[in-house]
Amino acid sequence: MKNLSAFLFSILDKFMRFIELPTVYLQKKIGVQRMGYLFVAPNMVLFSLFVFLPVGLAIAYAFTGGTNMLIWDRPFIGFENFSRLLNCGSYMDPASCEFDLFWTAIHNTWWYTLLNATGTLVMALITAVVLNRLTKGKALFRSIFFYPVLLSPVVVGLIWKWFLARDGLLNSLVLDLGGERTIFLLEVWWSRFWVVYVSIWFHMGFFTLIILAGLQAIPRDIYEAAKVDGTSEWRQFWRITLPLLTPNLLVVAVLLLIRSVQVFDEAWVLTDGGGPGTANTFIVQFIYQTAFSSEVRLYGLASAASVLMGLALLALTLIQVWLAKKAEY
Amino acid sequence: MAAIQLKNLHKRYESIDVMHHVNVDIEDGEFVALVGPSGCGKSTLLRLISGLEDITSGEILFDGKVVNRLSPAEREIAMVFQSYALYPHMTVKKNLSFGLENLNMDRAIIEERIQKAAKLLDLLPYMDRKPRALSGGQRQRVAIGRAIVRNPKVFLFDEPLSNLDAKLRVQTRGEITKLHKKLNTTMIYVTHDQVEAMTMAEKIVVVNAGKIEQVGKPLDLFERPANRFVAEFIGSPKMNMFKSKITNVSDSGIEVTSNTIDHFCIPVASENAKIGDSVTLGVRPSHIEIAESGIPLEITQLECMGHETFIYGSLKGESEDLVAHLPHHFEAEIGDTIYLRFSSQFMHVFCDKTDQAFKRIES
Amino acid sequence: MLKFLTRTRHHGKMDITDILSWLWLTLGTAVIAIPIAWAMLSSLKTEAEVNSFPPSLIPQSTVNTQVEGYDKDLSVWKWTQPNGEIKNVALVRRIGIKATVVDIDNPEKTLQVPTSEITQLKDVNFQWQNYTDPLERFDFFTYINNTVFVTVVATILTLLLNSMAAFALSKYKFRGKNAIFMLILSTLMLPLSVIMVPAFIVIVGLNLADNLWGVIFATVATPTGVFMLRQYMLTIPDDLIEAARVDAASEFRIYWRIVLPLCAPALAVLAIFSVIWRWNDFLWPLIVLSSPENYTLQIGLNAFQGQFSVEWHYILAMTVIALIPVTIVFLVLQKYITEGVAGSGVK
Repeated sequence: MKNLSAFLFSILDKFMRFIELPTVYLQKKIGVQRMGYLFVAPNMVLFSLFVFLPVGLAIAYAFTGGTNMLIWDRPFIGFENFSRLLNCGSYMDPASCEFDLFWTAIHNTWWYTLLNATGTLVMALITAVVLNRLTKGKALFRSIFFYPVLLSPVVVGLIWKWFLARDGLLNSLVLDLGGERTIFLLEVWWSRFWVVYVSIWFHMGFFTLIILAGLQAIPRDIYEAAKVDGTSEWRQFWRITLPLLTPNLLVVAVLLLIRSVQVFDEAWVLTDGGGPGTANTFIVQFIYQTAFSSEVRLYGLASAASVLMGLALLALTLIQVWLAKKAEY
Repeated sequence: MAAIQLKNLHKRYESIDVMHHVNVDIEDGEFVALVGPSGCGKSTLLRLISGLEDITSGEILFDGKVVNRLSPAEREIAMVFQSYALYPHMTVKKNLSFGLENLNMDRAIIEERIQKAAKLLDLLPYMDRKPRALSGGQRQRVAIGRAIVRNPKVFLFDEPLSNLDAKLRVQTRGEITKLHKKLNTTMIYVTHDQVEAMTMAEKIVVVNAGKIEQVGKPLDLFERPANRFVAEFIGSPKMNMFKSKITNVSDSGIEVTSNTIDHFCIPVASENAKIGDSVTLGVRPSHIEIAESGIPLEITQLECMGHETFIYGSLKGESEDLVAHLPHHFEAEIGDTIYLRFSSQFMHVFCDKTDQAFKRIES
Repeated sequence: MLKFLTRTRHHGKMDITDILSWLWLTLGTAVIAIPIAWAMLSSLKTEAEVNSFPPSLIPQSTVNTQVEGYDKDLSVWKWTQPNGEIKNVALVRRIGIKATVVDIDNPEKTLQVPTSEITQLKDVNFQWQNYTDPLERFDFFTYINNTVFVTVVATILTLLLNSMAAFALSKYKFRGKNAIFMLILSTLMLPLSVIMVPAFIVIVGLNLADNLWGVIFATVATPTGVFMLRQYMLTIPDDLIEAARVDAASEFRIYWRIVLPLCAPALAVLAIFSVIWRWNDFLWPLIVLSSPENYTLQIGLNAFQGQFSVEWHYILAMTVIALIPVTIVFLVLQKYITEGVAGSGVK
């Protein structure tokens, strides 16, 4: 085993010496410090291709129409994509809009974001506070609560789809308790509830960990001083923990909003593509469908929707950066 | 082995000049100390010589050849860092052989060289250990060993002893000197500790604020400091300084007067001196004698070591305290008044305008 | 004395907050564990059992036996006779409420019994075919292969490229360094969902659509990785790098022989994250890959459940396959993962 790894390492070393040759030549040419350009280059090429260029393209495509893919085959149409997306009788009523699906998606996303962010924040905060009190088993429970975060959206979607199925465990429990069998994912309000529920179940552990880190940063001696004063634990939470944690919680809350707006994968798997009907169709799904899975691929319209979502996320990000800076002091 | 010349060396970081047109000659096989207070640029100077940093203008010559554009490896230098900079993930043996492997040297030669160096430095029992399993002194020896195996033309030391405790420092000082005798290679040694410089080096370069203040043999710097900075920097405790004025100038020297001394003649070259110029007088603590009568001193502090005595006190009319060093035991109490005598041939005179010393007239 | 008593009582007793805490933890653990455990248990059931309602908890299957004089195996039933005696019988046929059974010990004689008196015998039985069948009959073997390929290659490239960039940004001085760093950092907050349309068009332009390399290349340069490794490399003393320069090492060799080994702990954390990201990745492969022979496990599984939505025994088995590697990684390395997440706030 040891011989094998030594052998592999020697091969790797030979290979690296081979790669080294041109870099030595280059180093001689451009000098030591400028070798930094060489080392960032591969990363920057990929970043440029798959991040910077697409950002530029997203904006460019948003102003073009037609169904051709290549930018030079596409006519410039100015703000038409935006004005069509925003063309509504009333923004409160998606049916009055030219693109009713877009506005349905916005309404759905809005409610989802509100409920998911609030729910996750409250659940994660309670869990973090409870975990922080533990003297024994902290690591174990932390791991248990974190575990779902590591699952894939498809796995989470399928596990819950099975759990909520017509013949699933939940229905069996409901029947045992004298309830009525419900096909949860085919009823508008139930399916919306479960989409939010599953999201909280899926992502809560991540936010719990972050809040827990914030809790652990609160100096112990503040609590000890409070204990000496005879402050009850309940009061401690409201008077010490929460105020000291608030800057942290705000950052987490905005992060949650940012993540929630991008809801797609697990909801898509769970609800078979945003169903029933369009009850769980969200903005990312709208963009995805418009660009990739409809008969005519409306890249311009999808890009315009992306740009709008990007602007909303940018605003949230700026708020978050501002809050994070404030939290440091 | 190499002789090194620095010609008009200049270094600028962004818009700040850190080395000002430095000229130094180092002979082949010489042990040179670069000494100065922290932040004076002595480490920068070493890094410029090593090739780790590029110079802004000027020339560096090794054996008469310009090496400005050469990398450290091409200059064939070896360097011992203050932090030792041992590769933490490699064994002692790997640490020693890494540099030779990079030169694509034959395995057998590498093995032979590291065995030789390890024997010389008593490292054989630790060859398979990682640096973190070594003591400070052992790490230091590995760092030196790493330099030795490469048979460099020049050894550069960047404050190599500052991480060792006092006892080990004295011991290692001796070892490095011995090493120099044995290898006879040019060594450049950076330190802020003037004692290290005085005891080890054959030549000392005093650096201050990016400029060379004086270059010379250790004793030269002690006896004939070229300026106030060197006078105060070399020697411990510091040289005592008094403000005074020139009252007379003659071929045999300068006559000065201050609050404590009156019309005192000091044998220094007088061509730049003018009557009425303000100067500073300097006298080393060890050059002060106790006498029956003379300049009165009230003792404020006394350090008796048995074989030597340090006397601290204030002179009438002087703002700064005076220190005297007697090479024997001296019986006195704090508050006592004693009388001092300065001998004129040990006194230094510095011009207040230029801070340069008036040259001593050698008898 | 009173003080002493109250103190011990206070220490010994669980107060209401303790009780609520433990209640929360127990409930939370149940809520997390039950759906997963349920999916795992169900994945081992036979097709018939998966589709039966009400469901049984433990995977079971009917017990069959060979009876002399009958060509096919007969199912075994428990017969509770009117006199209270219990006997195992084999069912020959059932018509309406009457069943024809045969005594297993005495196969010549057939009996007519009311179906209300017999219940089918079941055994604990794990249906491992649910796992092997999809691998053989459907493309899941290919999906897994593709996922492993993407995961391994993308992780290696991520480690190499991100560490190189981090090395440049932490140990070199060159014009534009800070601008590049800020540029990389700003993409930390840019989600794929905003740029997925043009990113796909770039992939098409590079002729990498429906190609695993298209999945790999787009995700290799991660701002998270660069940032994390740069922070770590800043703690490596510059002296080490200069010592290596004096030791005649080229800059590339310094990277390869000094910096990379010294970054091993940070690289390990990034590797763990990278493996989990790639294994679970959904949206991007969904966009890039279009033909089934290129599907990754997640995409394949999603497509399969859309196409064969009644084959839950297979769907669940493959779901378990998809969650097992991450679970193992987590069980072994949970400490590093939770600390890595808490420390850097990435996922």
